[in-house]
Amino acid sequence: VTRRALTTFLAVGVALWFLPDLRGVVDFPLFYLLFLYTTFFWIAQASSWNVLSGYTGYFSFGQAAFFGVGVYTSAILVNRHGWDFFVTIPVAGVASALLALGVGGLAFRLRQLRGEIFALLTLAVSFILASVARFSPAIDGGQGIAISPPDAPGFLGGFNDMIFRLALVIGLLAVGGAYAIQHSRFGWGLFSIRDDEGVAEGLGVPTFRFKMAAIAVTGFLAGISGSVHSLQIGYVTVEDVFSLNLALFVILMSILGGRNHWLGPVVGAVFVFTMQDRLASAGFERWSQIAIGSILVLMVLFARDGLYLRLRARIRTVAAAFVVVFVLSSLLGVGGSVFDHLLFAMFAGILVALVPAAWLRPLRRTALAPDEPAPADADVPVVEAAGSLDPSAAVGPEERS
Amino acid sequence: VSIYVQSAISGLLVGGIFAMMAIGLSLVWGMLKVVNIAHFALILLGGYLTYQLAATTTLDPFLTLLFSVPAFFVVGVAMQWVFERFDVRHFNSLLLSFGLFIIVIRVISNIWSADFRRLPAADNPYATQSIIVGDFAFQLPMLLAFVTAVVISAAVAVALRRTYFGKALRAIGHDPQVAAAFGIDARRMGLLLGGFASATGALAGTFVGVSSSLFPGQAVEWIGLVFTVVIVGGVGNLLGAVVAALIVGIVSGLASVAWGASAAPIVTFVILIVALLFRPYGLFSRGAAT
Repeated sequence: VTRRALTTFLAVGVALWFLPDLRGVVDFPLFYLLFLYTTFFWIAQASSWNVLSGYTGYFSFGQAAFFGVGVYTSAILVNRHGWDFFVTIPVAGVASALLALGVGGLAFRLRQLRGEIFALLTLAVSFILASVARFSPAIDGGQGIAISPPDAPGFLGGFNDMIFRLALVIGLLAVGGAYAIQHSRFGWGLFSIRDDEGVAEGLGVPTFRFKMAAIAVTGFLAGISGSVHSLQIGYVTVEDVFSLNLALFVILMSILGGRNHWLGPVVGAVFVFTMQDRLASAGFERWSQIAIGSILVLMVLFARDGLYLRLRARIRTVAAAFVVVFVLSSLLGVGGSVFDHLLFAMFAGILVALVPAAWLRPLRRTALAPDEPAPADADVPVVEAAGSLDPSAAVGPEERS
Repeated sequence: VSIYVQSAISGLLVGGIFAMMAIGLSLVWGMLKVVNIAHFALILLGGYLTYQLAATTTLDPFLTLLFSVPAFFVVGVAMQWVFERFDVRHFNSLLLSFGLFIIVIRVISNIWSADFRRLPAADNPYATQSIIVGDFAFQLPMLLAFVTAVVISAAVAVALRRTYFGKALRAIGHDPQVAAAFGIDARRMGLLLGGFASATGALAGTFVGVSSSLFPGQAVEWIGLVFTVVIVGGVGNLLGAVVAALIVGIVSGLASVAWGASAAPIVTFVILIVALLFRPYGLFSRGAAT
C-alpha cells in the first residue's frame, strides 16, 4: 500500500464526509445524499464480492447470505436485546465472516467444488438461510423485524447524514481493502489461484488458507455493509434480504466493471446503480431487470474481461466523450436531473470504450497510438494484461512505486 | 400414519415434475457442459403458453404441446447455437443463461402480470381428477408427469447406450476433441440435443400449467430444488436424476407434514450439501464421471 494511495483515499473520504454539511450552503435536494448512500452501498457489496470471486475465480452466488447475516445480526441485537447499534456493526461483520469461514471450510476442502458447483453451493447456502430465517421465530419467523434509528453522536449529524457517512466509511474500507489486497503478496496468491490452482499450490502458495482469508474478507465487508443497510431499510423481511437480486447485482457490477482490478466493481456499481435508478424514476421499473439481464448476456458474449481495462486504455477519448455528452445533455436539458445527464455521459464513455479500435483510428493523428488496446474482438491480449502472475501489471507503471 | 403416507405419495408425485424439469438441465450439463438456468424460465413460459392457448381456445391442454414442443425445440437449437458460436460453457454459460432467465421471467410478468394464473376448470379436465387406490389419492396430472419423466429418462438412457447417436453424444460429453477426431459432428449433435432438452422443458411446463397455479416467482423456487436433483442424481445421469427427484420429493413432502411447509427447503438443501460433500459426482456414480 503506497503512501500516495493512502492519501488519495483519505482525501476522497474527507471531502465526501463534509458533503452533507454543504447542504446548509448550496441547498441541494436530500435525494442526492440518498443516491450517493445507495451508490456507496453497492460499491461496498460489489467490492466485497470481488475479493473472493473476482480475485480467485471462485464465483459465489451467495452474497445475499453474507449480507443477510449482517442485516439480521444488527436487527436482532438492536430490536430484541437492546444493544447499541454502533456496537452491532462490527459484531455483524464478524458473524458474516464466521458464516463465510464455515462455507469456505466446507467448499474448499474438495477440489471438485469449483466453477459452477461452487456457485450452486453458495446459492444453496443463501436459500437455506432464507428458509431458516423464515422458519425460526428466534430470527424472523416470517414476521419481519423493525429497527429504529439509534441516537447518533453529534459529529455524524441527522439520520440521513449519518447513514451517508457510515456507508461512505464502509465503502472506502471495502475499496481500500480490495486495493490493498491486490497490491500485496496475498493478492498475488489469489490471482495465481484464479489462473491455475494446481500450479499455485505446487509453487508453494498456501491456497486453502488464502481462499479462507479471502472468503472471510468478503463475508466481513458484506456483513458490516448489511448492518448499516438494516437502518436504511428500517424494516427487515426475509424476502427483501435474501432475494436473488443482490447476488445478481454484485455479479453484474463486477463483470461489467472488470473482475481483475479493484476499481472494476466500483465502475460497474456506479453505472449499474445509476442506470437502474434512472429507469425506475422514469417509470420503466418493469424494464430495468430486462436491461440488466441483457447487459449480463452481452458482457458474457462480447467482453468477458469487463470495462475497466478498456476504459483505462483509452482514458482520454472516454473522458472527452463523457464531458462532451454531459455538457450537451445539461445544456439541452434532456431528461430531468443531474443523474440523467450523468447516465447519458456514462453511456457515451462506455460506448467509446467498447468500440473496436479500427473505428477510432481516423480520429487519431497516428494510426495506432501506443496506448491503443487490442481490437474488441481479440479479447485475449487484454485478459493477459489483466495480470496473471503480476496483478500490478494491470495497474500500469505510473501507479507503481 | 396415513397422512404421512399420503404426503409421501404427493411428494413422490411432485418429485415426478421435478424429474421432468431436471431431464433437460442434466442432459445439456452432462453432455455439452452448458449449465442452463434459462431452462427454468422456458419451463415457466411453457406453462404460461399452455394456460394461454387452452384458456383462449377450446383445445385440450395437452394438445397445446403440438405447438409448444416444436417451438421450444427451435428455441433450444438457437440457444445452443449461441453457446457454441461464442464458446460459452461451464461457468460462463451459467452467467449467460442467468441473464436470459431474468429477461424471460420479466417478460412473462410484464405480459401475464405477477398474479397467480390458473387454467379455468372448464378448460382443464385433468386438474381435479385423481386415481384412488385404497385410502390414498394420486392426482392425475402429477401422475402423468411422473410416468412421462420415467419413460423419457429410461428411453434416453437406452438410447445413450444402444444407438449410434447416443454413443456419439456420450463421447462428446467425455472428450469433445477425441470425439471430433473420430468423425463425430459435435456441433450438429449439440444443436439437436439442445433442442431436445428445451422440448422436454415445454413438456414439463405443460404439466406445471395443468397441475398447479402459475406465477413468475415460481421459477426461482425451482432452481434450488432441481439443481439439487441434478447434482444428487449425478450430472448427465437421467435415471439418477429421476431417483433423486423422487427421494427429494418424498423427503420434503414428509418434512412439510412433520415440521410445516417452510421446513421443506431446509431439508432439501441439507440433502444437497451432504451429497456435494460425500458424493460430488452423484449418488450412483463410482468415480469422476463428469
